[in-house]
Amino acid sequence: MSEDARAAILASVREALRETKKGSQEKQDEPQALPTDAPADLCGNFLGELEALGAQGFVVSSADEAAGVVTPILARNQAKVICLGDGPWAASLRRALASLGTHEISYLDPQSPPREAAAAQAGIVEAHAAIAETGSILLDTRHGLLASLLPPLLIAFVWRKKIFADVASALEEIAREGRANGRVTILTGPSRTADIEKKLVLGVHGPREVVVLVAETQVPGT
Amino acid sequence: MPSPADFLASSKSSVADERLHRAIDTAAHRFLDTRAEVFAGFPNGEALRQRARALKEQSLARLDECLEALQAALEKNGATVHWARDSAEARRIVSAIAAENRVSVVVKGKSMLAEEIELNEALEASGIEVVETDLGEYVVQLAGERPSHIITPAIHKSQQEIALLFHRRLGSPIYTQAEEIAAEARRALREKFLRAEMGVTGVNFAVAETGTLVVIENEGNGRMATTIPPVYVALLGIEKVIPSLRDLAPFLDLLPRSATGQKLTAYTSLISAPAQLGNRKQEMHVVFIDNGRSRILADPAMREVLFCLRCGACLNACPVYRKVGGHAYGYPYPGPIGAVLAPNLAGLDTASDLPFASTLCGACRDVCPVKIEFPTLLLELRRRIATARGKRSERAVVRAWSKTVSSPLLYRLASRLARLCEPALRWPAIARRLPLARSWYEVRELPRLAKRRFSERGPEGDGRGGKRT
Repeated sequence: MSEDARAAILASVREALRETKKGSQEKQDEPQALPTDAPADLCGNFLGELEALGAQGFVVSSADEAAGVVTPILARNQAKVICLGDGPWAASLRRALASLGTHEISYLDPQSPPREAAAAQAGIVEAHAAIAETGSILLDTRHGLLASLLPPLLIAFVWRKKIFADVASALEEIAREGRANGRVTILTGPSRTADIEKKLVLGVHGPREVVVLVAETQVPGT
Repeated sequence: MPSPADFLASSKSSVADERLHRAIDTAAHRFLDTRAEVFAGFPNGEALRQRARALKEQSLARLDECLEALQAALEKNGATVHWARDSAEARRIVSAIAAENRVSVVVKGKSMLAEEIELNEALEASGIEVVETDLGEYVVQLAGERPSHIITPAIHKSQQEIALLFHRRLGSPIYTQAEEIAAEARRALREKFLRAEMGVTGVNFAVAETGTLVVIENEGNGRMATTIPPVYVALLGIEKVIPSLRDLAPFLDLLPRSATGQKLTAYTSLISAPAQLGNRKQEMHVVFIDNGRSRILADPAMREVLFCLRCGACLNACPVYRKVGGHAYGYPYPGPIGAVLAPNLAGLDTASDLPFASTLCGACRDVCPVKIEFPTLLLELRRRIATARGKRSERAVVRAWSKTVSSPLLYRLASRLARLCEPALRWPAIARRLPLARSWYEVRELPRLAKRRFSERGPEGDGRGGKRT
């Protein structure tokens, strides 16, 4: 049945395009690149956009520094269970938090069943890129995406060198890295709605609080 | 297919509803203001609109190849593709997937296409609980209504009404803050997300080359619906395909800016494969739905209707939409885009009122991210409707009028006659009895004729003609 439908739809599309295809053989002009002024300070712009979105951004050069930044935020959110994604920065942050030992934290694998992950108060993940113009981070969510989705607080690392100027260059990066056949989420600030009288409310279904840690190096120094 | 109601009849009550005007006007103007603001800081905006339009045109010109490539890429990534010629076939396909997987709860992301094919009703008929998870859509579902705006489905409802609705339907306290209402929805829907066996969403764009579905939203409900349930069904209108990932950038730049005045929405999900959670491999289905789109493609004068990104900007800009609200259109797509889509999708005879529900002011075209020529399309639809079903009496009147104004003699006679009849025409009891004039008189008064005819007046101030008073 679906085969019939496929054939029928394709046939009517081809029939509809018969004249179009005849006429447009030669012209298929490549769109010209639009002028973009390359912003000098991608990181600065990125941090500024984050703030405008109601998110927070910090530049960190070590896991200890990151632990110092997130400890009060975790405490304020009474985060006792953290859903922890993969990656060297996430793992180092966990060790650094443990050595601070300010409060008891248990960790969940982001592969845990959704109902368990939903009980976490925070998620820590590594983004593979960011966009300066929009304050977005790019999350490869083929595996273990729950850490960036279910808990009300999201903490994400991104390497400073992977901050791209705009959406177009970030999409090129996705294609270049071969992530386009999996799942990528471009996450831009906290979950939000304006469905009630156009009033802005943060944290509807996704995280209400987003903290981005811009890492100076690809892996934390020892 | 939902059939558009009689627009004149259904808009009567909303035209008189001042509370509704205020609610819609406030929201629509806020939309327009934020849109204008974000475009002001976006110097490439105008050039991008032009490019996006060209990209849509080029994509549609190779729609057949794009669809085949998209199917191949999706299947390679582990998804199953289905094709549906019309809404009945699409409903059957989704119902069958639900039945095979013994689905009892479906969570839905906002999808205009699901409204168009009336999917909820079909699933509910087989005993499935369908839960809308976009906050506005959830509100509308709790109220037993339909969305009245593409982007803000509950635009017609005040916060107080929503608080009372939650109290009545969910037993919650009567909240006074929007935050409390949103938190209640989060709690109620979180449970549904974790329980649902199937998630259904629409698709904003589909990239043929990589097999990527793009789902754009702000709340996170779309991300939930596409990843947490073990079965995910995407509904794709066949016109949404673009060839490659690099073609996506201008659309991502334009759609959120036009819809909500954001540079990007909180979540732009690029979905090319089933979601993996631990050992669970998700089952992912994509339904390619035609439902009249290939017919529009075959109609050169109407083809650009298929460029639409469903941003809702034309609704906000439309003086008619702002006065009557979305429900008056009686169709899932209201406003200018509804007025051009409905007659094309549902047929000229069922939607013959809607192309007339416009002042032809062109404000819709001016905000459209792909520059759809709404006034031209509306006029063409009006022409077709008039040709197909114009009343003989109406046509006779128009013919007579055209003869009269093109002949100096007849025109002079007619204007004398009008002057003679004027006092009588002012008498409502007489005027309302005249054929065709009744509905005109219901909402208007006859303007007074000038004391002297134009031809009797000379140029102003030359001493011969009368002065303007």
